[in-house]
Amino acid sequence: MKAGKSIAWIVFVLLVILPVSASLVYAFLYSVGLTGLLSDGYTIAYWQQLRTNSPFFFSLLYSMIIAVISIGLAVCIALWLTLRYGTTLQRRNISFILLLPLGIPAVVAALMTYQLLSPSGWLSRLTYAVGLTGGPDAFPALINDRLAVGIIITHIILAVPYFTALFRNIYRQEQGDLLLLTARNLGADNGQASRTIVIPLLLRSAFPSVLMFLLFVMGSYEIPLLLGVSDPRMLSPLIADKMFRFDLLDKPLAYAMLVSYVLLVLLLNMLLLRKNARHA
Amino acid sequence: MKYFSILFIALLFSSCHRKGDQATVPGSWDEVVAAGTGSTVRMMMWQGDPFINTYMQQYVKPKLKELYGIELEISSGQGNMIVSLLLSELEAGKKQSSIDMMWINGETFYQLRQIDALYGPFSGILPNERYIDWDNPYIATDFQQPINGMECPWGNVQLSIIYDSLRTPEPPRTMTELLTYVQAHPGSFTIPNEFTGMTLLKSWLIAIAGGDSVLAGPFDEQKYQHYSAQLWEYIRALQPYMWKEGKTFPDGPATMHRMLANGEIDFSMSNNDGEVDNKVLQGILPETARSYVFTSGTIRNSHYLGLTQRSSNLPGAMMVINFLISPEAQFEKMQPAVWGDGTVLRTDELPDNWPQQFREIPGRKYAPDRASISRYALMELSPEYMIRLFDDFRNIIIEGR
Repeated sequence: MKAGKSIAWIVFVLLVILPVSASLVYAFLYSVGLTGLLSDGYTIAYWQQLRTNSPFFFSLLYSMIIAVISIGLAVCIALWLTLRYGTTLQRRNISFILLLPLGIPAVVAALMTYQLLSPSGWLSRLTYAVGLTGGPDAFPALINDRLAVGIIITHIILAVPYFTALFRNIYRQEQGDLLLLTARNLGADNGQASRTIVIPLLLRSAFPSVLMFLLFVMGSYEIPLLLGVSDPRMLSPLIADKMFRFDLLDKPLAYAMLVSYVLLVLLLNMLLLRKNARHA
Repeated sequence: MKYFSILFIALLFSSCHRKGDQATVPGSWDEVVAAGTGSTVRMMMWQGDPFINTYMQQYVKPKLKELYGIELEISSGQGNMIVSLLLSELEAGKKQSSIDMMWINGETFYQLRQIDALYGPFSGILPNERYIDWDNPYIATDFQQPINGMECPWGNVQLSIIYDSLRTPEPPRTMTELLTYVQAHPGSFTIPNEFTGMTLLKSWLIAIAGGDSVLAGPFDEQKYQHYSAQLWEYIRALQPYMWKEGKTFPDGPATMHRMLANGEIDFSMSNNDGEVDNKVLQGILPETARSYVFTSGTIRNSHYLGLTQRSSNLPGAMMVINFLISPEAQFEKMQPAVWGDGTVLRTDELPDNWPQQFREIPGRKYAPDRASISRYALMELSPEYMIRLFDDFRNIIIEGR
């Protein structure tokens, strides 16, 4: 058993810790001019530029807001589905339908949203056909808009099945039906029982997964690339733009952004998961 | 752990900054053919157009196999991806590149020369090089840089504006007319925030400066500051009337073609003046689509083929390039129903009956005749102009700083 555990650790270090650390060290060295084909030697100019003259922090905030709204709404919908249709969701065919959207790649989901919500999309055509709008121009901007409505909707579509399946499993494992019944027998109404017993239970158990999904949305690339605006941009398109566009001298700045983002995510992850572990 | 860290850092540094491991190539064309026949050549190119892909997959590949036994493996990737790949390979100290040749244009040529990733000069050894129209300045220089045999011309195009003649019977022909039109039709115009859009901005910068000779030569900061200020003033005047009130911009011509077809905007654009025929034949644009150029001029440039300095099969890649610039391959490529790409050859001086065959290529149906737009052609500017325009377009127009 001990030997098996050691092997698992070695594999984890070799496949995860080592490549990630190596990439991070390399990115840092690149950002301070200590490596890179066009480097002129050590400099902190790119880090100064990151702090004073780059859209990094605004993009970070923008990405965080989008992630919190998307995951917040997805969690609320998934909780409602679990509590409202808890037993029904456990049926095999419903379960299959529920899990189906999980297999949709992000880029396909983004294109589906585009087809649905763009000014020339299905919804716009429908509103035009029934006389609610006068043409593509009159349809409200739901994609490529600064409020990121399209990005948020797409992330919700992808996240709701996952969270519903997760909550359903926790609900079943923790015998949610029994807990609700007990609470009701003790005099609580349905709302009280859900609010004070089941929802906290589900959220506490699912917290690490919710956090991971939140970070995943923050770092998403294809969806904001297709459905976002030129300004503000979410972090991944911003970094990719700096990394791959016309000016090769922007690469160290892109690496500085990358290092900052990864460190921030790791820090956030550690703090929140540790806090959660203490409360568990 | 300490030793491991030292080893890791040593490896990291030892792998960098290895330049100039030039690949070797046989001295004569006969030796090139002997070494390249029957080999596999790996090419990286943009694969975003079904017509171009069909030309490469169903014409070029079988022909290369039939004529020289060469297996051409095509992978997808354009400018920035090619530069990133080769930069990473150089930084990693890789001895042999994973690609042998690639399709490039001006800004990629500039970047690849910055990192010393191109093999050359090589075009002089190609037998079909003698047919290339080297007297044409739009072919012999790339973004104001003499190509000096470091890349081989493949096609020649001019930026054109695409519109639907049914919806817009009289499209605006000048920058002033465009402003008036856009003010009267809000949301009908936009600029793609990438290479094609920057080519339009360069065309306008030249028009504002009073002609391409004003900005010819190396990048001039003073001139750029002076003329670009007027350009941003013009775009700021357009901005509130642009698509989405100029707050966001599409990612490229493909998106704009779709928006034009859907009636979201009135104008799309392309760096290929023959694109409208291509897209009508693909069913992406309606048959009423047409293209034109501004009378103040639009940029004409060439696209090229380059060899990677660390290619493992330079002879095979040279044979592929030699075939791609042959009269036969250029003739096929120029046909509107195949690709519609302008040739880089001096067609009137080709042997056999090629001059006549080129003259008899069916004319374009929807795009204006090449000769009629040539007088509005402008030379490409030095690459730094595009880098600066791209940055300033983001800072001044998109982010409003």
